[in-house]
Amino acid sequence: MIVGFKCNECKKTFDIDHDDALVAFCTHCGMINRLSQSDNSDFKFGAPEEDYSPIQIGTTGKFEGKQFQVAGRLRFDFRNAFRNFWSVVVEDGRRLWLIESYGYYVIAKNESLQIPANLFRSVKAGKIISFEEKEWPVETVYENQNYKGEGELFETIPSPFTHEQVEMSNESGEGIFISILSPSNLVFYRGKYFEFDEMNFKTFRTSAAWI
Amino acid sequence: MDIKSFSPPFETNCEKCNQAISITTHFQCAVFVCSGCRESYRFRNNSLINNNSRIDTKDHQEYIPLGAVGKIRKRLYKMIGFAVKKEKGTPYRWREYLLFNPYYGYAFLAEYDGHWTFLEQLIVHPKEVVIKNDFAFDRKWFRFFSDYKSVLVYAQGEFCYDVFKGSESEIRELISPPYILSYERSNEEQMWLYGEHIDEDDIKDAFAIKEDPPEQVGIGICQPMKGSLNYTTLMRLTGIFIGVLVVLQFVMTNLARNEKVLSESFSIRTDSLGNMLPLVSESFEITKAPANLELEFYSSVDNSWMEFSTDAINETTSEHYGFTTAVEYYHGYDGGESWSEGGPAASSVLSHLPKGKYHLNIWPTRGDMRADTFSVSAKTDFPMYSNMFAVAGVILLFPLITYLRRRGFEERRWSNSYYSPYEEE
Repeated sequence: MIVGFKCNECKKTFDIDHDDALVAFCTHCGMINRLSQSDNSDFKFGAPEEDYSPIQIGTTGKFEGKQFQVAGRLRFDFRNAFRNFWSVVVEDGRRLWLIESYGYYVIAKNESLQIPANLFRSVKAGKIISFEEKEWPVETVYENQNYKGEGELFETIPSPFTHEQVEMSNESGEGIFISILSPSNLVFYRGKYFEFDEMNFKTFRTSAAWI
Repeated sequence: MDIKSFSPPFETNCEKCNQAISITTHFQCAVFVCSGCRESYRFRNNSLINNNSRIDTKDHQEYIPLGAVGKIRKRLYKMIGFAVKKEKGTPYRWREYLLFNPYYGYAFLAEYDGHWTFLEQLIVHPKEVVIKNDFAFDRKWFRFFSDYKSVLVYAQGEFCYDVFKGSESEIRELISPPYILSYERSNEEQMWLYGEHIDEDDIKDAFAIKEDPPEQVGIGICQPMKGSLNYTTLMRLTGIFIGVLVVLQFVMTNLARNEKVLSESFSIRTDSLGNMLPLVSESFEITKAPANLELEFYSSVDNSWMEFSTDAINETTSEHYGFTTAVEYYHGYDGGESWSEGGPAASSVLSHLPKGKYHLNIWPTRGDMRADTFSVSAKTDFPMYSNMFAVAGVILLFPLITYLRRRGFEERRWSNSYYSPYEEE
């Protein structure tokens, strides 16, 4: 825990719960603070507005029989949609992403996958990518932008700020989210889709209208 | 840890008509269409941005009011968006209701000609296993029903997608009533929806609507046939009944005594005018009732016939059981080939005879004078297969009628499709 971290933007202090956090958003002004020496990106952004996500910082859930807790999030939007990448701390020490929007939940982690980058050049929805002897139809192709965030993240934010994102999934309910930072620099987030009821969420958002 | 409540709906006013606007889903709302003037907006950063797209058609009355809350499939949904769409290049129109739940996301209710379908987006996208026009998914075979592009006719409320962009997507629909798979694809996105027919009364009850739902016309795209078992259940039940019948027959066959009660030979007798005289058999006993009795007549007729009008007489009650049996046998050589027809033996069966002592009164007639002897043998309590076949016929009648009814139903359903399997036949 880092006590009394001074916000680069508003200069007020706030506590950071996890020593290995690489990004923390100020609890006062909501602006991004980079904690990694190697992170030399310079874009600024603050807290997301209401998006009716049922997840919040502090929400707990279960994955592979292990409890996890949400520590922060990164949200970006594209065209008329958006994705929340919630950073989660698993009780066994792992740091994962809970990718969520529109009632979909994917527990994913950043992985180095041997998928040739040229497969994604001018890729369109519906193209089938063969990987690990499985077929992965491309579901969505978009350019993400307009980052917002809150809490603590355990990975630096992909740079450049605006880049193409591809999502594909297979019939077993696995998903791969690909950030195409350059034609040869791809970042893969691989995970599994879950229904809300499968995650055993606790401390999630609600209101009288939905009880 | 404090639980953050969902914010109340975002409230503002339409910049064109000043009507109050309420946006439930906040940032999830991509497009909002004012119900007062049908001006459309994008919603970003807590402000409405004019979308420069406007619906120019007359009002279309929605059955489920905007903002109505109801439980479908045990989940609470709020109706937040209503759209009327049509198939590009055709007059076919349907209505779509966008339903929202913050935990489970979005679902659709689609209504066409009074038939309702409840659709949810699939998170596990089906692998295409296509055989001819059939598509395997969720242990069901789906058949290709339609493909089209949709055009927006009318909209009001909030939408998590750009409701104006529909005509750029190709849509394919596959059905396995009461289920439907809908596949929508543009260059940027593909989406699978999995739906099921839902009764109009369930909609009415779920959203507590007083008015009756739109009147039904024709057969819905995935409407199930009411009061009918599905093929699998029907075939399974039919198989069980036929199996029971076969077992029963097997048991009865094994319990039958196959008892021979008469075997007697006769010589034809005539009077002085040459008329054949009746003959009387020995008495025989039937000890089990009700009994069946098979009588087999044998005569060495050759290119001729012999007919036996017979009465079985119950000697106790004097009841008569009459029947006629004919033996005929013809053969020859014609066009280089041998042929034959009939045979020297023929039999008749009497059933449901009471027990008692019987004899036969036989009036023979014949085709020529050469045949002057015949014999009769009788057996009782033997297995009969005719009853089994009669019952099996009745059992099979039900699936046959069901099949014919269902075929008529399906022909009407598929009359709305360019891909009807019934038009090939």
